[in-house]
Amino acid sequence: MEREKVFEELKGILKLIKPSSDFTNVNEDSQLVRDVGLDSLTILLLSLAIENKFGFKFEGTPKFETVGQVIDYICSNATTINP
Amino acid sequence: MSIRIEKVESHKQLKKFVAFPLHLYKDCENWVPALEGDEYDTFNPEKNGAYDFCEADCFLAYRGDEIVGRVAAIINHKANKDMKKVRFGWLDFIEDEEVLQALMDTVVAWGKQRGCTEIIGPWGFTDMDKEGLLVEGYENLSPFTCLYNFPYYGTMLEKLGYVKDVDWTQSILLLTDEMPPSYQFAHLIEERFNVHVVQPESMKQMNKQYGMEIFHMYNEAFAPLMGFSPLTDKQIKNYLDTYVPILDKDFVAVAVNGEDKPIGFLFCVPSLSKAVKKANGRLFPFGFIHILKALKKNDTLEALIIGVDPKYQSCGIPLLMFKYLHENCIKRGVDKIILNPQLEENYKVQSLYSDYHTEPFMRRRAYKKAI
Repeated sequence: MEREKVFEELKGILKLIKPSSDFTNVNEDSQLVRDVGLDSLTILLLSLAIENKFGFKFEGTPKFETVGQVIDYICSNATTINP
Repeated sequence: MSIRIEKVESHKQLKKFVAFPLHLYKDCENWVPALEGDEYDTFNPEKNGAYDFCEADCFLAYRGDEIVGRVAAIINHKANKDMKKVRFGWLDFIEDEEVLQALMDTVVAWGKQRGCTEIIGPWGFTDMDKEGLLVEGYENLSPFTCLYNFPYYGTMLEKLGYVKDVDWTQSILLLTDEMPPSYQFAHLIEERFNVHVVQPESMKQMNKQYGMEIFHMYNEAFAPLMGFSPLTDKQIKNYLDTYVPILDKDFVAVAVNGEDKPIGFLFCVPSLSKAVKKANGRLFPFGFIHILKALKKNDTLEALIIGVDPKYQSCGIPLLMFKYLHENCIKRGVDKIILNPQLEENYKVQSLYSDYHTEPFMRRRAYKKAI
């Protein structure tokens, strides 16, 4: 799956979770908590929305620190992008 | 004139003990009395199941014939684990250091006689009682379910060498018709974890079907918290029979799993502060009318308790319960929820409200002192 495409989809999900935040400066090195401003609930919502969008299930509780790590995981596990 | 301390041993004395704050706070617009009947039941070993594992005595302070203070001394043997602690509660006194000193000396002596090495408070018998001295937020009308006291209480306790044990913060949540964006993910939580919030026909049905299990889960969820002692089945039955039936199903959210087992609960009640103040703490002859009116129509809720089964604590269950509550609040014209006091270091609970507009409301403090 194309990395660029996954990143755009991911930003779309973040926008749904935190509509008032600006994600234009978010990049693959951005820390989910420090830079993106996620907390335990929004990380849970992000993981559920990723599962829903990309058609796979995380095994256990995902432990990501950066946006790039999330993209890596999606790229190696996703088979599809749901609308 | 010196202070004389009397142990409460008769109903007549208990009546004076219960009535004292009504005199002390008669001109205080933000103080709200407790319901008189509840106070009598609390100190009745036949009605309060906490007496099965607690011992307690109440004391009145007199100057001449005038009552100038009151206090209860309590030992909760279940909560006392590594240390023997005596609790003080129901502390009220006129602004006079001599009175406070006499009251606290009495509790200390009572505790020492029973082998205690530390005094803590204000605490009740269990977490279900009011606890924590008000130290900020005096300008707000007291929630019916919490303590309110004059600012001099804390200052004078500190002068006697009492230091902070723990603080509880309390916020007010201001609701709007706009739903937090997180609600749109509620269905994903429901599907992923096979959970949902029940839509009960009545509180009676909810009580019968889930009541006991909810409080067993409460015991499990709250076990790690400071000063907690699990409720016995006798206490649970009392709460289920006495208080739960008067709750409103729109303001009680119970989440269950695929096996219909409760895994989360959120209890709120319409604020009774104004009504109980009007009734001066008495249901009869006409106090119940104010209270019934407040239960039916109210723009403010008081959150009593929220708990989630430890096995489901990272599954977004509070979001489902808040969504249910929020939708019902809009339907019923409620726009404020006074949250229950949270231990200041319980960040997990505080983060539940990050999606909402909240404002600081009150701060409460438990004190401690080695004896």
